[in-house]
Amino acid sequence: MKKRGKGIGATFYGTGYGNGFPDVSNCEVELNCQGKIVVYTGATEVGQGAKTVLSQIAAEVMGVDLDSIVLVCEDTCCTPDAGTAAASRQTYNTGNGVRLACIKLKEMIKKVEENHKRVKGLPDEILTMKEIYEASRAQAIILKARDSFTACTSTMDEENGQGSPYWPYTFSCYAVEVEVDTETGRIEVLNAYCAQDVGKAINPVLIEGQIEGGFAMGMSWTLYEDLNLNQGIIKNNNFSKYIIPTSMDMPDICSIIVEDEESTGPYGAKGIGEPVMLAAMPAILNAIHDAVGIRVTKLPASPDYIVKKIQELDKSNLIERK
Amino acid sequence: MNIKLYKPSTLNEAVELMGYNDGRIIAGGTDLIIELRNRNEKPSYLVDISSLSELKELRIEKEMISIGSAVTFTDIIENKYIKEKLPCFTDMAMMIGAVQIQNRATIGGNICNAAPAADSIPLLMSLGAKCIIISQRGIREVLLANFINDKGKVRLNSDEILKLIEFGSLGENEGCGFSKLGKRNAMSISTISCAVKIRLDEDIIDNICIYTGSLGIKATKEEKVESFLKGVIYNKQNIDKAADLLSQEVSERLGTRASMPYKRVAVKTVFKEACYSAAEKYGNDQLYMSGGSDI
Repeated sequence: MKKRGKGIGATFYGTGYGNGFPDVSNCEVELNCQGKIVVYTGATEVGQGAKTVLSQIAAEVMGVDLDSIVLVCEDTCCTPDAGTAAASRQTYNTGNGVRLACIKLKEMIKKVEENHKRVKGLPDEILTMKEIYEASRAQAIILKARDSFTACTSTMDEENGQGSPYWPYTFSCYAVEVEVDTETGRIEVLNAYCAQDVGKAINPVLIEGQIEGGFAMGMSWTLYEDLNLNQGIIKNNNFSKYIIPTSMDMPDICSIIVEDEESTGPYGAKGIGEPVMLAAMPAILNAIHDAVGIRVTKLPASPDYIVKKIQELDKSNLIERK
Repeated sequence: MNIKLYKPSTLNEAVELMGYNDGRIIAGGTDLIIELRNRNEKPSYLVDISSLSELKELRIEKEMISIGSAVTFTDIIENKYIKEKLPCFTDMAMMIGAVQIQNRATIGGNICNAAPAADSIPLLMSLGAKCIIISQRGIREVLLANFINDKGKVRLNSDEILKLIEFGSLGENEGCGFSKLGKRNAMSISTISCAVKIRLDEDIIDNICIYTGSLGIKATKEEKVESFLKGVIYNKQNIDKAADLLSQEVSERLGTRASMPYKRVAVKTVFKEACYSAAEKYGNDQLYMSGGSDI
């Protein structure tokens, strides 16, 4: 028999290294001879969109088009350290580093521009970035700035739980509808609604992609992925046995971006890389409980496990009735 | 890996090549290439039959359907006649692997690889399919049910080639259904599969043939369930009873295997789905008449 159920899962997640560990992102920016803003930072693009988001932040501060930003990253020869692409920290931490360095460069540019106008006696002249570069050469000033951002965390007091072990926190709430086949134990996720707090959506399309990918990963973790360890040996050692969902298994995902600006974030933005997968699991498991009344306490919630739990429940119900 | 590959242009040439010893036939290669890479197979030469027109024929006559062994599952999916007259066959082909696999994999390969989880085998067996086998010694015919010997083993001599598979088309009051349970909705190896061919005389089950897959070393004819259903009314109660009987059979067959407690329960749904789809053209009215709505 097929039974349907609904469930929600709500999570909060501290991003960054946390617990007072030095969480530092450095950035260098310069104006080059072509009038482009070159941003140097060690942030790694692993497909999450760091290059896009960091370029957007730089363009916003400098007041130029995205085309005028050249982002140089992942090159240890010329990029200052910006920490790992981990802990959902690049948008927040390195985003802040890029923003601070750009603010400094902008100040320098302003001074060069003012000097130039005063010397030339043309107070109303509007200079292009290329002209500003040339003016800086004439003034013997190198338009290059560097800044750094450190996340504000402290170790937690073990006695009273006080302190700021993480900064900032990201919140999410997902709701799903599932259909459980009580005989085959197969679970179909029919619908998913994913509300994710992002601080400020610097790139909404990237966030939607992250939410969909995060939900797929969370669903896969909940229902499919199993290494099947046997005395330390991985039995499911290829993708015919180590199952992950296909597009045929995924539900339609309705992603809801919640914006509540984080005062310390670059334009209010926070990291969402890891948070987007978290709420999928509790939401699906709660929906399973709603559908068939069983509590899943082991992952993955594989078909044979579901059938076993349903049978156990039926048995205990039978005994109760007697 | 250094293996000679022959690509004959006619079936006769292929048959001649197989006359020398220790050659292996390759068609789609979706199973064989993996085995070669894993070094589980070490043939001295390969004979590629994938583009032999004689083996790519899909012939549909009034009472007989014959499918060449090198016909791919995509060829089957795209065949309009099969889709209309034998939709369960199209459905089965669409459930095999991924589209890329369907494009390469052949029906002859699926049979000769003889995996316990092969999707086409239970369905072809329930249709009473025969294998036509060719060698330099001539042509012979064998029932598919007898052709498959063991897990991964078929009764095919080293000089023989499976030429085609043929089976009778469905009669007026006959229907056929296939159901498969996998771990996900696509690109899935079947955990349990079931094929049912049914002949109804009004609401009486005149004849029924049931084969299950993935529940033993090879596809199994469920004779006890068949004899229970023969001559009884096709309704929900009887199908449910038959499912319970099958469940009992499966638990005995799998014994102490770790998969038994699950498969014993899940097989019921797979069997019922195959039954309902086999009798679909009769509208399954009888099922509702006799109460119960949870299908």
